[in-house]
Amino acid sequence: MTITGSDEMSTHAGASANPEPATGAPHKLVTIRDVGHDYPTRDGHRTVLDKVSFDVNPGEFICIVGPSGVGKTTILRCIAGLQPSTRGEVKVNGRVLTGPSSDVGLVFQDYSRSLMPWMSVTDNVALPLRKRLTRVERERRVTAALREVGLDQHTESKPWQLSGGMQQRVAIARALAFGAPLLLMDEPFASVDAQTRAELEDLSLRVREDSGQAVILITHDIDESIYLADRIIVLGGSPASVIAELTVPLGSNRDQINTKSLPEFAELRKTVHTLIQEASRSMGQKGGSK
Amino acid sequence: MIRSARTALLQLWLPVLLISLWWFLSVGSTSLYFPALSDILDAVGRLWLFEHAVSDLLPSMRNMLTGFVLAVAIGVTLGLILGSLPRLLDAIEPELEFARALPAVAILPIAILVLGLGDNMRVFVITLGAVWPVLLNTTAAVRGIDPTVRDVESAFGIDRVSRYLRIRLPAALPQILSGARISLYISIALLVISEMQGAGQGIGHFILASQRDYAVVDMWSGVIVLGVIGYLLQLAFRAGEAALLRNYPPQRTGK
Repeated sequence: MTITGSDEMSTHAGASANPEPATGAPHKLVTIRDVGHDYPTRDGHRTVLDKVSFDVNPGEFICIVGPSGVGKTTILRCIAGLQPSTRGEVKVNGRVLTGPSSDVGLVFQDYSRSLMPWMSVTDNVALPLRKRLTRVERERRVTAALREVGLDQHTESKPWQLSGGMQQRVAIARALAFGAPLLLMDEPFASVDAQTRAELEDLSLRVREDSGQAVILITHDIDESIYLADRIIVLGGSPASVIAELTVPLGSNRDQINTKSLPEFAELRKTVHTLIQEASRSMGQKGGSK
Repeated sequence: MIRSARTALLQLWLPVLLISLWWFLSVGSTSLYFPALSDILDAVGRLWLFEHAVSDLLPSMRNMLTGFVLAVAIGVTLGLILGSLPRLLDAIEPELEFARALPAVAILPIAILVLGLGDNMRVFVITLGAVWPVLLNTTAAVRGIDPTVRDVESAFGIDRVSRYLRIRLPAALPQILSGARISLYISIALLVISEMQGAGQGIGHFILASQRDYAVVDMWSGVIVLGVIGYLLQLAFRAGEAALLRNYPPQRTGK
């Protein structure tokens, strides 16, 4: 199934129209260079992010972890174009991002706020596609996305009639149908129970496999980050930057029981844990950031 | 089914009791100001079925509904815009507060001077008075829309028309409707008041004219008809509200 098709959709905001001329280097879907972000405060500003740099390859699954309050959501909002970075540049598909772009789909943390309660599941998923696609193409994409997340039996339900896990599936279907080559997920499974969480993790892996989209997922759950990611980006420090990039050598066929009992998994968990603990301790010494 | 029957009983006993009391206490009344209920109900049948219903009630209802619908249309449109532009709202907030604090009744003499004694004046005064609850509720509702919804709008590049009509309007709808309910009350009150100023027809005019002619029974019949109409309008409004909110989570319908 292919529902990625950003070439059919026009870039809707911000991104400048001139793609980088092709160079000899392998194509990067996202390049983040020296991104910094300041929040205004009463006495000047507070620097949350400084010199954050990393790349994302097409189809790659990236998890961003770090101590709470380190600025994970801020970097995600910068990549989404919802919050222009103060310094540095974010390029998606070769275009410098200056606002939200049709190359980026988003799954928000809180499904109860990000879905429209008065719209049916179908209408929620179709909402971003209005005015962009013909009706036939729109319906095709919505149907495909709902089938992919296993909600094809609930198309006419309202979100509030569904369980939390099902609601977050609607949100995933919406981002999927949007057809962007990059999917951003901000702690998407933070408010569902453990069983549902495991299901949604597997769903995310399958979706990435089928659609070929790259995913950047933020989580505070170390096991989740290892289970999902091809590569883990650890943020730390105050202001925060990338303190480690870890490749996850667990292959592409993962399952909740076996993958999580592999020695490599345990090894990585220890590494990431240590990194976050150290980062968190050094933040504490500097007075913390949140 | 049983529950709704029980609710109906629960709601009915008091009116039935009060009306019976009124009926029996006023039997054979010789008081000029408080005639027997039986005489009043006779007058209701005689006057309002259907002579004055056509000559007075119809034009009144037309003016009232025109004013109310205009108030809702203007209130919702302006509210959507003002709620979406917090800076503009901050800039004109004092003027809004001033205009809202000014009772529409106080505008009546000016409206009569400028617009004369016709229906236009009445519709204008009703609209002016009834617009505020809808306008302020819509503005507050749109302003209070969850920031995540704004993020959804921009992240997915929702076009402007859809932002207003498919997201902000429905998001504000429950609050718009509670404002509109108050606007409906205000419309009825302003209708009656505006008709007491130099109107040649209308239910407010009828009540005042009957009082001046010492046709006290007729006057009371007008008051009762007005009460019944007001009650029926509220019932109709509630039915419309329930229909409009059927897709919303139950707690948002305010029940």
